[in-house]
Parts: sequence; structure tokens; C-alpha cells
Amino acid sequence: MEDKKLKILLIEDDAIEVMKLNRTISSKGLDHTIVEANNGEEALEILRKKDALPDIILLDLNMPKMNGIEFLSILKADDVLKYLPTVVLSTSSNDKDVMECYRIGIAGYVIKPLKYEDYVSKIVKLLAYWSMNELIKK
Amino acid sequence: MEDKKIAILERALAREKSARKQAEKILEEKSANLYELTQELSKANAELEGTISEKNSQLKGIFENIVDAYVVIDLQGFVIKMNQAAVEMLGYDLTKEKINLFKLVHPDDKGKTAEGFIQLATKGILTNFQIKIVTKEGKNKFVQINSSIVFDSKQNPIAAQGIVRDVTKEKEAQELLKASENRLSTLILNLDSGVLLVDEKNQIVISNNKLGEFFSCVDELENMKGQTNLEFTETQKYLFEDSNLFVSRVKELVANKEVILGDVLKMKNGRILERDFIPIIENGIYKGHLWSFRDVTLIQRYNQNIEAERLKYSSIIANMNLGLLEVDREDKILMANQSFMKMSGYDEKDLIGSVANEIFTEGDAKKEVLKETKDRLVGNSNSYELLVKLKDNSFKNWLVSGAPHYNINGEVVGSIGIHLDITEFRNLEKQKADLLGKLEKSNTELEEYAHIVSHDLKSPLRSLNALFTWLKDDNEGKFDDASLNNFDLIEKTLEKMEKLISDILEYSSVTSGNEKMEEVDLNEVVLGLPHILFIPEHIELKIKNNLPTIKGDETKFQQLFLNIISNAVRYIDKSKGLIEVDVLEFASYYQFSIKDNGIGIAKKDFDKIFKIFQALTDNKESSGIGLSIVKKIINLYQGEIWLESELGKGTTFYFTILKQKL
Repeated sequence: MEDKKLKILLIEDDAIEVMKLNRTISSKGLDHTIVEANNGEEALEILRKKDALPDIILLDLNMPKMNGIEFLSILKADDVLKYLPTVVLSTSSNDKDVMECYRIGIAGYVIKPLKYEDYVSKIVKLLAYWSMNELIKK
Repeated sequence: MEDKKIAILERALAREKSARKQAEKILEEKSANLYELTQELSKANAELEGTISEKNSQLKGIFENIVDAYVVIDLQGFVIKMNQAAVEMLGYDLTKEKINLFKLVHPDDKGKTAEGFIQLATKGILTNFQIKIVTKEGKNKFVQINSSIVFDSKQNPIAAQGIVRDVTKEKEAQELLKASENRLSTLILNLDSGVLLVDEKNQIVISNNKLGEFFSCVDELENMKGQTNLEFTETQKYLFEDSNLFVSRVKELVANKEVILGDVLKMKNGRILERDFIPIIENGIYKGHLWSFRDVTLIQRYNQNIEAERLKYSSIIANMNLGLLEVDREDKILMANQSFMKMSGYDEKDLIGSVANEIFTEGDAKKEVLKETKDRLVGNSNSYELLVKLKDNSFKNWLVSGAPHYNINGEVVGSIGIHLDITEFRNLEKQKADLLGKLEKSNTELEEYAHIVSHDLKSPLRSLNALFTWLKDDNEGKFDDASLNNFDLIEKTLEKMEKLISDILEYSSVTSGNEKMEEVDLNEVVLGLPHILFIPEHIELKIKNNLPTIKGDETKFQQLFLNIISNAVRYIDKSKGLIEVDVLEFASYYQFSIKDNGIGIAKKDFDKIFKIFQALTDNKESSGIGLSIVKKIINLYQGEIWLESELGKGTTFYFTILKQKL
């Protein structure tokens, strides 16, 4: 059984966080594609070209301009985009945020750990899970 | 001689002859007179006889045809003769039976009748003799008898005759009159007004008990009759506060003879009388006058009391701090007190007669007043808040409490409203609400802020950790041991920094205002701790007495027990550790205790441990915030925290939680 190759849309404003994901994937020899967006607006632009939709979205909550929750609301209001599984990557374990995200509709909520090794282990598991899921293909 | 003799004889004869002649003449005259006289006498006799017979027949006719009953009796009382009227009155008919009049007398009057008969027998006459008789039909009748004795030619009494009149009706009328007179005099005597009746000769005729009571002359009431009005006035004047005025007024009234009602007289004993003077005029002729006196002391006092009450209340109304307004059914203002005018800015002449709702309200308030007024006119009391416009065009919040106003017949004639200016109160309330809103908002903002700050602070730590890791990985084998050791230290410092940030976030999120209130079973809270806290095998956590279920925020209670128990776990140095949770229930609060057998705390540090950032040891897991959070939570539940400890033996933390009012 072969794992699927995922097309991942990473919405993250912090350059080092982006590097962390890239390094995790390459160092573990995973064959996923990462599309980067620095903020919500950028992500929406990418998503509006509906010809190349990602398999999953990894979303940081705390971003300038449009924050993650605002982005999530717009996404879930769209008839097509609302089916994209979105996993939140956040520093905050704030109950209110978790609640609000699940209310709007997310596929997961992962706390970014302090230690890089912990981060790697979480991301590997996360991607392994999604790569064995059946996803909507257009 | 013969001759002589003859002559003498002749002369004598002649003398005799002439004398005889003369005598004959006289006799003749006398005889004629006698004849005349006889004639006259017989005539007179005849006339007399006629008269007598006339009289007799007249009398007979009178007796027999007389309207009143006529009866003749013998001396034993048996009726000899009676006319038709007597038959009708008595019911007995002489032609059919024997009647004894004495037997007809009513038993009550037997004695009286005997006396009457004796009087008749001795004096020969009895007039206006009244007795009661019983007729054949058994009816009682009052009769008046006028009777006389009938004598024979030798003056011996042989019978009695009499006229009997039926006076039953008169008697009854008299009795009625008497009874009504009695009643009247009893009435006058016992009248609640003092009465003094004076006749046209200015003499007292009637006075009554009440008068005697007023004038303290009860005993003299009888003696007063016949006294003149003025004499009476003079003897009584000393009873009055102004004696001279009393006398002069009596004189004035008597002289004027006009009706005067309601003169008020003040007596020295404090009594107040009201006096009426009524002259009695019959057919235009003055017949006397009537004084009547009423005691109005109580009424006067009552009136005075009412007046005093009225003054008291009107003074309260005028000076109270509430605006009072009275309106009629058309909402026209009848009365406004001083406070109302002060509150509204209007003066009396602006207000009286004006329609209240037109002056004071605009828009919705006007409609509301119309609705409330309507409600009041059907008898409901109400109170409501109203936005009113004052004279200076400013608007105020008034609290209006209104009630229908009834007249003495119980009809709603308008309403009375009490007005309180609650503008300040409303402003304060609004300020309070604003402040609370602001506080809540700033609390939320603060919490948000704390999360953002912690995110912003943690992000660089994460980045540093990643960067150091990569530095280490990318240069594997190129660093010496000392450098590698420093990398470890950097990592630990980053961890400590992160823990500190988390704890500060936790501490700052313990705020009052939006905590949940739910039933929390503390047994579950404590027994659930091992899921979130690592408790080594050699340490036992146990609950001594069953813990209560209390109202509050479960996460806060969890944090509370977690922080204390994690401290205990951390500082237990014995090979067999024991952490014991217990509770004591008091009337208004619970006292919890958490006892460990750890290293103990020095007494000098008791206060210090609750202060933020005061970790007593250099433990990497301790930021020094844990117990500060505990204290903050306990404060939220209005409790206290303290501890007992012995170095080397262990520590017991005590804290109380106020029982929430359900």
C-alpha cells in the first residue's frame, strides 16, 4: 500500500516555521508538495485558481492582516473550498480559539511544541494520517 | 122726742143709706175689678196651662227625640224609661227585658259608680260623671252621665233621670292625645339637645334633662318653671367664658324675635355649645320662643383634630422631597406642592389649571402617560418611569407613583401622583453599566492580549530551538563537549522561558467576572489529577473524607488542586510519599487541607511562597507562579489560604471556599 503524495498549502507568516516544515519533509524523505502562502489573502488568491487545489491546508492562527479564524470563515463559506480539510497549527491552546475553530469547521488542531524534535514527530504523524486518507479529487 | 128720734133715726138712716150706697158702689167696683181680675186670672191660667202643656210636650219631645240617650231609673237602678237613643247605645230594650243600669257598669268602675250614686242621692244632681259600661253586645263604652233625682209631691225621691252620652271616641282621642303628649314630653325631656321653652310672658314653660346637664341645674329643673328667661340667664351667665356677652346676646335675640341658628357658646368648663333661638309665632302673634342647645365640644375638637392633621399633612406634603401633583379627570392640575415646582421649574400659576401631560411630556412619554392615566381613572394605582421636559427644556427621568383620587362617594375624581427625580440615579446606573461593560471588555482584551503576547513570546523561543537544533545537526561532530553542553543549557533555558510564559498566561487568566458556575464534584477533580499530572509510583494520593460538590468553575478548581498537589509531588523526598486531601464543613464555608510528607517549608518563607515569581528552590519545573495562581483562585471564591509545616516532616496547606448561595 502506497501512501499518497499530498499537495499541502501552508499558510504561515513566520519564515522559520516555513523552513521547519520544509526541512521536516525533506529530512524525512517525504514526497509531498508544499505551496506556501504568507497570509490569508495570499492563500485565498491561490485557492481561487480552482484548477490547482491542495489536498490539505495547514493554517497558522496568529497572522497579521487577516488572521487564521477570519480566513477559515471565508473558506467555509465557499461552496467548493469548504471541503478542503484544514488543520490548524497554533501556539495558543486558548479554549476559546479551539472552540471557535471547531465551530467553523477544521480537520485538526495541533499545538506547535517548543522543541523541534517534538515538532517533527507531530508533523510526520499528521502527514502520514492524511496521506492514507481518501481525499476528494476533482 | 120721737121726731127727734125719728129725725135722728132718719138721719141715721140717711147716713146709713149713703154709706150703703157708697159701700155698694165700692162693692160694685170691687166686684167689677174682681171680675176683671178673674177674667185675667183665668186667662192667665189658661195661658199658663197652655205654656205648661206646651213645655211638657216640648220636654217630652226633647227627651224622647233627644240624640243622646235618656234614661229614667228607680232607686234600685232598674230602668223605668229609656228613649230610642238609649236602646241603641245600650243594646237593651225595655219593652223586651228588665234592665238594671248598675249591672251595665264595667267592673273597674263599680266603686266609682257607687260613689257617684251617693253624690246624686245627697245633692240631687250629678254632672259630667264618666264611667265605662259594657253594652249588651259586650262592647266597652265610655259614657258621660248628667243626672238628677226625681221627687214626688211630698219631696220624696222616687227616681233618677239622666242623659247618657257615648264619649268613647272622645275618650280615645283624649287618651291618644295624652299618650302623644307623654311621648313628646318624654322625648323633649330626654332629647340630646337642651331645650328651654319660654312663653309670651317671658316665663319658662318647659326645660329638659339635657338643659339641666348643660347648665348644672338638674335639681332645679322643676323650680325653673315660672322663672323668667332673664332670671334664668342671669343665674347661668357665670358658666360662660364671656358672661356679659352671654346676657347681652340673650336680650338681643329675645328683643329681635328672629330665628338665629348655630350661635357658638364657650363655657368655662371647656364645653362648647351651639345654640338655636326660634321664636314661636302663631297667626302673626308672638307666643314665646324656644331655645335649644347642642353639645358640639366633641365635634369641635374633632374638627380641630382634623384641622391639625390636615395642617400636619399639608406641611409634610409641602416640605417633602417628593413632587406631589393632583389632577382632575381631565388631567388638569389642581394642586402641586413646593417640591414639585422646584423639580419642574414651573410656578403655581403656570401649573394650576393646565393639562399636566401637555406641559411635561413629548412623543412616546406622552402616549405612556395617556395610557397610565386611563388606567388610574378606572381605579388602579401604578408606578412608572417617565422622561419629562422641564421648564428650562431639559429632560429628566422621573419615577411617577400614581393613585386614583376618590371623593367621599367613592367616585374617581382624578389622580394624585408622587414624583421622584431619578435622573442622577439613572445616570449612575448607566455609568455603572458602562463601566461594567468596559471592564468586561478590557478583561477580554487583556486575556486576548495575554494569549497574543504569549504567542509572540513563544514563537521566537520555538524558532531558536529549531535553529539551535539545526545548527547542532548540521555540524555534527564539529562541536566539543563544552559547546554541546552549552547547547543543552540553551535548550533548558528556552524550556524554562516557555514554562514561565505559560504560567504567566495562566495566572493572568484567573480573573473574576466571567467564571462559569457549575456543580463541581471535587472528588472527581482530585481523582482525575493523575491524568494530567505525573505522580510517581511511590507517592500515594488519597482523599480522607468525601469531598463536597460545590458551585464554581471546574478548571479553576482543577488548577487549584493541581498546583498544590504538584508542589507536594515535587518536594516529597521520602521513599513512601503520602498526599492526603481532606475537608471540614462549616456553616458558610468548607475548609480543605492538603497534607504531604515532603521536605517542609521554613516558617520565614510562609508568606513568601504565595508571592509571584517566588520559587524557593532552583527547580527547573518551578516558575514560582503556581501558588500565586492558587491564592488568586481562592480569593475569587472569597476564601483564605494558610499553611502549617515542619521542615523535614511535611507541609499541610489549608484553604477555605465560601459556600455559594443557591
